[in-house]
Amino acid sequence: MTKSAATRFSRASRLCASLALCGCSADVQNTDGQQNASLARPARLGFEPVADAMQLHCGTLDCHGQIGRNMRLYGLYGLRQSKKDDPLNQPTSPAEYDADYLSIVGLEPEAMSKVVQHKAAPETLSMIRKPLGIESHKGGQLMVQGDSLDRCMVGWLVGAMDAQSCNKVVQTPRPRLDGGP
Amino acid sequence: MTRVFACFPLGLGCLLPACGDPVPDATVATLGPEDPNVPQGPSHRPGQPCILCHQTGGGARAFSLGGTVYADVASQKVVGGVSVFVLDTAKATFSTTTNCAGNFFVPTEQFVPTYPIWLTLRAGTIQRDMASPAYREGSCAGCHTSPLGPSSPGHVYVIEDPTVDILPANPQCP
Repeated sequence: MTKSAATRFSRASRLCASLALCGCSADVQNTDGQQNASLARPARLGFEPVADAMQLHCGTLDCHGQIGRNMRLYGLYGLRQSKKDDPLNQPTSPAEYDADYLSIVGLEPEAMSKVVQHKAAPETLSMIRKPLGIESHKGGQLMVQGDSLDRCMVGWLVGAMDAQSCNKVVQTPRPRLDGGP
Repeated sequence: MTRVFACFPLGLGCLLPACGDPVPDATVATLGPEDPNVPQGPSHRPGQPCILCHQTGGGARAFSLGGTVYADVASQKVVGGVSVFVLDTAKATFSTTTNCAGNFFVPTEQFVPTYPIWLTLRAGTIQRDMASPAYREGSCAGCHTSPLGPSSPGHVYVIEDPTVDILPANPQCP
């Protein structure tokens, strides 16, 4: 290949790569929902109590608090984003709440949109079916319909936030060896 | 080939247990060989994820739970004689005691918990409760790896503050 042909080939390669990257960028924007106004999402504002409740039941290090697991959750008692943090000593950070939110709303965006718009039942979502035990779940059944965790998650999804139920989940003491609650 | 089932037709034994599942097999391989100074048995491989091998089909006696208890978060000193209490979601309980290697284990024929489970350690007057339940992991070291970091609370330990708490003497484990 002559020098000029090589230069032309190199320019063409760079152009192709640039076009390809533009295409990828557009796809990423669509995937995270920023550019797709037709999909509804539950509110980010006020999400923190929901994340705290889910962190205790879903986000422990042996479940969704693991790299490589879907619906990856970060926060206190689980995986941390900052290298300076550890699972037991720092409260969940704003960045971790953001990451949790994106992780959850990115699971089934179309189905979640229908739930948020009251066009489908919350049980159409894996994040509700699995902890209810309706669908196979390696972590087992974690809630029953109407309990605090269920009210917390479903309330958030359908725009009827129930922070009291979320807080109840977080504040429930661990069972005691001597037969306490 | 290192897989046990692949060795049977040749009438050979294999040194490494294998599940025939490439993911746990690869994880087991990363644990490395046995310490030549410690015989295979209840004292071997402290701090490693027991259930990788000690599960049904894993090549070793099946345990439902297993782990190693250390003195404090920064110490590599293992502690024997620590009582380990398991409480499961069905309110069933089981207790056992760490051996001199700091190891404890729960054979499946004795107890299989219903998850989630909560663990408590007791050594003399010191009691340490696990901060959150475990939902599926039977190996303490599945989550409790050393050192403390973003993805681990550190190894399992008894004492929060070594300048305040003192472990009871244990003459059986010099």
